[in-house]
Amino acid sequence: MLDLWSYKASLKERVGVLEKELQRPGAKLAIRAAIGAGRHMLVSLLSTRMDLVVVDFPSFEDLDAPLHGLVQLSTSAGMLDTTLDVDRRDLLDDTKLAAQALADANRPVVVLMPVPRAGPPREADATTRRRIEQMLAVLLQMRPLCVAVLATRHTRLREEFTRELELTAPRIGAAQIDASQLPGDFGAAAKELATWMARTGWASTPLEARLQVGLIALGEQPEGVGLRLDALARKMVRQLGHRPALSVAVQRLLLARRAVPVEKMSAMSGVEPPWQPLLTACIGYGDENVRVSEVTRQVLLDALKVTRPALEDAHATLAQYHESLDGASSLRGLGHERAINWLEKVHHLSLGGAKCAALWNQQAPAGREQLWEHGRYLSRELHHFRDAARIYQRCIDTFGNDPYSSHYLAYNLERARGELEDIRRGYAHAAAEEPENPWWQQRWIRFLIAHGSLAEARAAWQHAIRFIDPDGTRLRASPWLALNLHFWVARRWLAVGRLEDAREVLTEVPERWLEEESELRDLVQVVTAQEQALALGESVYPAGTPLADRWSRPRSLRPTRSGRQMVAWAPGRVVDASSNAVTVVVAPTPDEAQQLTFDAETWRQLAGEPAEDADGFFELGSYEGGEQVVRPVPADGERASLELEESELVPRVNTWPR
Amino acid sequence: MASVALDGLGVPLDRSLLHVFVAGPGYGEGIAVALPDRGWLVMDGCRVATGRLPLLGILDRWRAPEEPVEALLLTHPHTDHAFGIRDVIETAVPRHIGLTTSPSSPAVVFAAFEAELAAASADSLEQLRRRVVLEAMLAIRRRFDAAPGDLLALVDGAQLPLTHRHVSAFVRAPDAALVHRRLTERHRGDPNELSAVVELVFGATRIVLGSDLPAVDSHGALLPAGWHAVLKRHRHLGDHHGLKIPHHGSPAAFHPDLMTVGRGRTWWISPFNRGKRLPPTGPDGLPRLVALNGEVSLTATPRARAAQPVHLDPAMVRVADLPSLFTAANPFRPDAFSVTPPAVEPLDAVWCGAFDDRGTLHGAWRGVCAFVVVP
Repeated sequence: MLDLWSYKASLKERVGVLEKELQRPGAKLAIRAAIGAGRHMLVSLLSTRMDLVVVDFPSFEDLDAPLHGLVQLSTSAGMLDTTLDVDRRDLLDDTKLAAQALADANRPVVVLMPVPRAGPPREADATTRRRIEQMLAVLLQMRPLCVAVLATRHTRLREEFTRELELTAPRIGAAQIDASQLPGDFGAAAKELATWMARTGWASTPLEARLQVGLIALGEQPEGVGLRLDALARKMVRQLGHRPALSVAVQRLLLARRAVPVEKMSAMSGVEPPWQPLLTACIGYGDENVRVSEVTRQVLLDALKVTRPALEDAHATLAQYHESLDGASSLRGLGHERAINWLEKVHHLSLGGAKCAALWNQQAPAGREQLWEHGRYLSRELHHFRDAARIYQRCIDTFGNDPYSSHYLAYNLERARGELEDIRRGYAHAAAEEPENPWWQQRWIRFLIAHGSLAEARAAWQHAIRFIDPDGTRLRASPWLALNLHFWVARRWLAVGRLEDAREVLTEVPERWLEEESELRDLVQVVTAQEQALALGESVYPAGTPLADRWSRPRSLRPTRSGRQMVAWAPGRVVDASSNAVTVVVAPTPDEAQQLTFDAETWRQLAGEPAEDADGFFELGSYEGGEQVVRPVPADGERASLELEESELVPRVNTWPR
Repeated sequence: MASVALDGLGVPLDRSLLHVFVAGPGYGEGIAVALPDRGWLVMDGCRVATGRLPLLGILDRWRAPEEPVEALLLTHPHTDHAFGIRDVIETAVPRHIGLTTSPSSPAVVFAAFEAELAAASADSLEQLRRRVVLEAMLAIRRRFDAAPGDLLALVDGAQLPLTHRHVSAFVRAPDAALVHRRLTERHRGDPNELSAVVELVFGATRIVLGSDLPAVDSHGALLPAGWHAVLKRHRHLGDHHGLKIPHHGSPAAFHPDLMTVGRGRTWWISPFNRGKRLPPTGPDGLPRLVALNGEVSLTATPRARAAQPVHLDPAMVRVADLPSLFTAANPFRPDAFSVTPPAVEPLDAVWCGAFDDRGTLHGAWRGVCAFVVVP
């Protein structure tokens, strides 16, 4: 559909340069490619000229991605079974073994790095990212091995390279749209797009141009598709919302991590023939094998609000598809292609829900990562914490202890109300092994706050901040650390009534983040409101009343009554009421609360209600001439809800371990 | 007997005597008892504005290294008694932990611990109360799981297992059947009704620690498990040498058979300023108690730090002068009185009395904010 002949020609020149570079002993190349620059095309061209080993990692969000990379290396090195034989395998040791074999065989390795998501670090991909980075470091440290790393501009690459190259994405104009390659509505849509591009001079990246054609085929006007990739993806999702069957087919395509042969597309996705071009030429691309760019996949999957049954169904279908290609229940003895299909099958089985459970259980896991993936699914998606804990325990039993397994074993046991000692052991191990991991430290500290000793909790906090941000640079740079560490720790202190400790944690956070970030702002509100009430000996404001509004102006009283000015006012609360009298506390200033008792008649005059009905928060005002008035103040709810904390902690008192 | 400053109470204590420390900084109450010879008993806990804990201050200063805390008692799960329970458990490692529960199935107290603690409330202090209690209960539950036998059921008829030969500690309330019923039926009554009353007997000396047990409800109706019932069973409690006045001196906790007419006895009050509980200057407040006993020892005046009087020796305030301590400048009513707890140091709002085994008070020491009300 796109005529990329001239771009391919320019890529060939680049391939020539790369080939030359990779012939130098020990070359280490970094190719920074823009989204849509054709990384796979480049590798494909290079493969025709050299005996390359290509490692194409799945997404950073897929926990099995490092294992995938290792299997690609090992099968290419012809040593998969050797890798599987090593007792209690270590990913990095195995990577080193394979890399050495490839270096000995003088075979260059090309690594296609996953495309990282924009934004701050996320727990969902941090572990995979770290492990892939560690694997990459092993490859790059292997002196004789030639390595080329293809990554986007924003991918973090820490190592030194012998040469760095840049690849920009081509821009597609009307001249590059070849409508004749597409049938029916899609051909017409491509024509419309070309016409509009010619008229307006619009240029798109190839990924954008494909989505634009798809959107026009789905009914959009060409004028409505002059957008960048993310916006196009969102629009695509809106269109798919009107076509549920097509939406299911798209989901299946998006969840397929490897290229799907065109001839299998219909069977795999269930797409109806007239709509197949949407999958093969608009969302996906490729002549014989259709792949979806990771960026397109990310933005579409994020925007598609896929239900869990639909997702599970899509995974089950994909698992079935890959099973037809691997025919195995373990990795042992498989060649490269079958091994990849087996890994894909296990990946989809692990996310495929109940209908995949039996088959998943029949597979012999090739590494921790496959168990982690299933454990995370059971925990995060199904909230089957006990089952998830069993998976992590199995992982430890099979492959030896590791911080990820032990942390999430503890995490799931905690939610399944397992034994505190087991939970402690798991969190402690992970925290000690990865002292710089803010999520693991945070959960360890929170555990200690509730179930350890105060001294342990405070020491763990000091230890964590010393490791994670010893000089406060990260805290000053962005609110990220405060939101992922300080917020959670302070919240837990607050949940057990430790105001001073909560305050101490929040004191570390720059004032700016406390004001700008709503979660932090609400937490500060709760802490301060409780401090205020404790110091005052009373609550005279509903907990949710903003601090800035307290004692600054009345909320319910009018400034004048019958032309008479208010001369004094105070917030207050009814503490006792009967048919005879009402006892209240009022605080004319933030420094002192005072108790007053009104007889029933006086109260009726002040508040306009019977004494026995008196309740809640109010404002008492006094006007020129001596008139006094009581007006109720609505009780706002607490802002930073601690229900989650309490729902975790209360059962630790009133229920027994199962 | 004239009191002297707490600073004058030597270290080590004269361990031929029974020392009763009552801490009450205006919100909360804690009692520490140094038993003759050796060992301590700790009841409840409170905190001062800085978050520091008077009872830990007392133990740090007067408890000998390695000296055991025989028992920590949480007389009832209210914040003003639950502050620092976890701290005492962790730092003093009491041999036993007592709380009001069914003696036949002590774990019922945990099962009855309701998720109502998580219910929404717009009252910041109420929210805090729930969380402080939650922390105390988590700590107690942890200990129970580790050593179920360490948990004591504080019900009428129970005797604390002190290793001390000369002192006995009896629980005189609440009634065991009532506790079982309340906890198993998850009845949402006022936890004060389940307050544990403890009687210490040292030779001829009797000290009654009244916790927060009331006599009547807020409408004046007699409570079936209140003081009326307790004194029916244990009339001798009115014959005592030291009494920690129940429920911070609330008129609702007054009972004539407990607060009998007499002289030479020590009555302590830890003021509690919240709600309608402070014994103010009205006829059913402090004046009545002073008239009955001749004097009453208050651990503090409920005033903010700025207005907190430091009482110089002999630290006696006449009933007639009381209003000047409590009355606040209020723009609405002249009879308002302050309820803000004083900002004090941990040992400022503390009374200590030392008794021999013949009922004689050998010394009284006070923190700088504590004082005696006299006629």
